[in-house]
Amino acid sequence: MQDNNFQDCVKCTLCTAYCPMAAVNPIYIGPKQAGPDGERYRLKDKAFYDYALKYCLNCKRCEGACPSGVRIGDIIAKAKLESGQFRPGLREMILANTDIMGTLAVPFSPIINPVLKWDISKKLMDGVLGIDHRRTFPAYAGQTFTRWYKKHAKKQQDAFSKQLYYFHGCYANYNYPKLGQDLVKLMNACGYGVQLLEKEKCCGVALISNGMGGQAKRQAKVNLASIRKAGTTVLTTSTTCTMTLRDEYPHVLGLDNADVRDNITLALRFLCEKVESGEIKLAFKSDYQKKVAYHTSCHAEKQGSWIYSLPLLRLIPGVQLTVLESSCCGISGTFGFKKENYEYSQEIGSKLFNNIREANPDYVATECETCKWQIEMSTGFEVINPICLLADALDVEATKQLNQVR
Amino acid sequence: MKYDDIIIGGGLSGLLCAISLAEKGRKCLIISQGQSTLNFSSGSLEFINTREGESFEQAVAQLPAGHPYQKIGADRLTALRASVAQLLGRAGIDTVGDKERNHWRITPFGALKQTWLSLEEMTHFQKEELPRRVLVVDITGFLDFNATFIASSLGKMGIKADTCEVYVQETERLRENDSEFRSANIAHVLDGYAIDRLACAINEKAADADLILLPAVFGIEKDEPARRILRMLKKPAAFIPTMSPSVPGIRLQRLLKQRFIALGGLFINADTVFSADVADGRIASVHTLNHGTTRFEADNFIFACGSFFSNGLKATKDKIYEPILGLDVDFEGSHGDWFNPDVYAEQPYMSFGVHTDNKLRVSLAGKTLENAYAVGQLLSGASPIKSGCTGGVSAISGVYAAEIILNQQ
Ligand SMILES: Cc1cc2nc3c(=O)[nH]c(=O)nc-3n(C[C@H](O)[C@H](O)[C@H](O)COP(=O)(O)OP(=O)(O)OC[C@H]3O[C@@H](n4cnc5c(N)ncnc54)[C@H](O)[C@@H]3O)c2cc1C
Ligand code: SF4
Ligand code: SF4
Repeated sequence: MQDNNFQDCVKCTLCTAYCPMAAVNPIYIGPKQAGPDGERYRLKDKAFYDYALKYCLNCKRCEGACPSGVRIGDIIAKAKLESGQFRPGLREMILANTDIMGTLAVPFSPIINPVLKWDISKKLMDGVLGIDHRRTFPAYAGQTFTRWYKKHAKKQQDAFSKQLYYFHGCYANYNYPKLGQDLVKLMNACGYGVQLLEKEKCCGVALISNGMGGQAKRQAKVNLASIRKAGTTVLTTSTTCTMTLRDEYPHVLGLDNADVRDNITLALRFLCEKVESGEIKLAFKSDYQKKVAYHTSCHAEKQGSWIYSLPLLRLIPGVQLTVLESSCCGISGTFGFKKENYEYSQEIGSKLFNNIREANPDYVATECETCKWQIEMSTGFEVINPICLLADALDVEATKQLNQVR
Repeated sequence: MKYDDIIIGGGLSGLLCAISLAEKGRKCLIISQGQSTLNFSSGSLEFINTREGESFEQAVAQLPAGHPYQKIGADRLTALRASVAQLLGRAGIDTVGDKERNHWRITPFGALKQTWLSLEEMTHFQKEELPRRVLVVDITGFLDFNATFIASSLGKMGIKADTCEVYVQETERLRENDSEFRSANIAHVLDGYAIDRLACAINEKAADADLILLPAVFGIEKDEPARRILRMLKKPAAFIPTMSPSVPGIRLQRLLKQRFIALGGLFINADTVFSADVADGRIASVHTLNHGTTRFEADNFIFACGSFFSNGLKATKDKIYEPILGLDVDFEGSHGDWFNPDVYAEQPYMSFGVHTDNKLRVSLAGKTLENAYAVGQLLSGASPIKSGCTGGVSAISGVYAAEIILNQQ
């Protein structure tokens, strides 16, 4: 585990020049001041610059800018948790507990989804909770991914000689089970069985950003225990969950995961490496034709994981790919749902939205679920995870044959 | 993961090398641990200082044998200079600069400095065409640009320089911020009507000027704001760099990266190459901190890691070393000998760098690595302050290494 390295800062201010929040919000002091500079003051008083920390999106673009490798975003995230000033209210509880809300909502999704769309409920949430009325809530699924898996997929998995685990995350489970289903479809076609972890909790990213460090840590420990028990590769489909499991656990929550960090990997990275080495072969439908614009989410940028997505998308013969300039969409998980942040959120995203409109694609492809909500709401273009795109374009039978799956 | 070429470092040298390779259809990966020194640069690239009437060729001939230009060979330099300018042009970066001689630009301190290639919107003159009367524009509250100081320096050179201060409502909001009021903050808010109002205010005061000089705080995310202010002003205008960060430098970095990605290049940001596997006199693969078990393999590896500031070189009390592989480094003496007490003088440590042969191939324990090259500020033998060869060495060596690689195919 690496230590807080704020003293490596050479005061060049590049982090602030590249911070999407500092660009639109003059009250935000920016990463240099909130991060390494603030850290000096916080040695004396934990609450220093506290008022400003809530503006940080945890996008980590500052870290990508820093010539000295200062983990600015981690410093800010930790300071936020440690300052003790963030008293989560009802709104934070609701937004941050994605798994509890999902468990409650999915059985009632036919009622909850339309209700969330009503003007009156939006006004109520705005007035009572401070959740902006202009936001569209992601719809809940009729059936969770895990339930589908148990009913329709679990039995078949054991037949495969090669086995992997899947950390599905809240979004695939409660909002978009097709993502998990597509992953199972893809991996099965390539000859891999997909198992679920013994226990999976929300990765905790929203808990961390909403000041609920204690709960985040408890959930992290459950996840790490299950990942250790799995003892092999654990695939993920969300860049944010992946970053949280791999990097935020040690850097922000102080939990050592060095023994399993490399086992946790985006499914796209796993696939890309196996395709490259020839261990996996993919065949695609000849009639699949789509114009796709790839959006590098902040956490794909931070982890460099998009270098795996692009070659895979380029494998699909009928995909015409444009790569959008990497920039923040502005939602930052639960941040953009809060009333006081709505305008900043949309202003940050405006450059990306314009680029998307200009590209005019059939799909925007990205691995981040909150980017999906934000982009769909703000531009009307449909957003798809590259895993779903690969699965849709896949010629399942031909792929099975290539990989000698019976 | 297997690539044709892996470039370590995404600064000027790494990007120009990578773009040259990608333009020829090669599959390239750049791995960079953070932003480069391009983000601090003036928006002008220096090739070499020349004396009155001296040509580039004559100035290069006087450089010591170990200088990167000497290794590349004086006969190649003219063509390489042209290649750099064309390559920038294809990335949407318009530059001005004569093939054979320097022009002059105005520094943040109002001095005239020789330079080779400037972004079109920066100041650029030949000595015989210096403006007679200029207006230097200050933005209220912005401390990283001092119009009065610049005007007085220009005045000493016989240029009549007036100053004016303009107030911009949009930047006033920035003052609510406790700490930051820098070029980048200003550039983020100067757009659209803010620029038009600014232009009106300046036009009112510019009746007597032949040239308006503005701080380079226009167009950080896109090019339009820089174009817009120049279009709206009724007199010719040009930008002078501010204290860092450099808005034109950030834009250059952005455009080059975009060009590389549009060519199909892949770019890992915020990650550090920390080790490499060597076998049979070649590098087989490199490893990064974030990507753990992934082996990044390639036919060629280009070290474009910059100098001390970018952590391409590191120092202890008694040695200078290259941190990824411990490549051979040219340096002399120990700590006490590396600095000149006169901070404005040539500093011995500035010419330290990775040892290469004439093809810019690096070596390990005296043995040349057949497929590994060093480019840019990482190279030994340059004397940036004395000879004024900073950006030129990076740009030219980047393109040159790509040529060597392409010629081998
Ligand atoms: C403040 C300042 C102002 C300057 N202004 C000018 C100017 O106006 N005109 C001019 O001509 N020149 C100027 N220069 C000189 C400048 O150095 C060159 O112009 C040029 O930009 C250098 O490019 P480079 O690619 O050689 O190195 P750098 O810009 O230093 O880039 C090196 C890159 O490599 C990355 N890197 C290093 N180690 C690793 C690793 N292990 N793994 C992954 N990535 C790594 C770094 O993060 C960095 O992005 C200036 C330099 C400085 C410091
Ligand atoms: S994580 Fe993002 S929002 Fe937060 S300081 Fe860094 S760049 Fe700014
Ligand atoms: S970019 Fe890094 S070195 Fe520069 S001010 Fe920010 S933290 Fe400090």
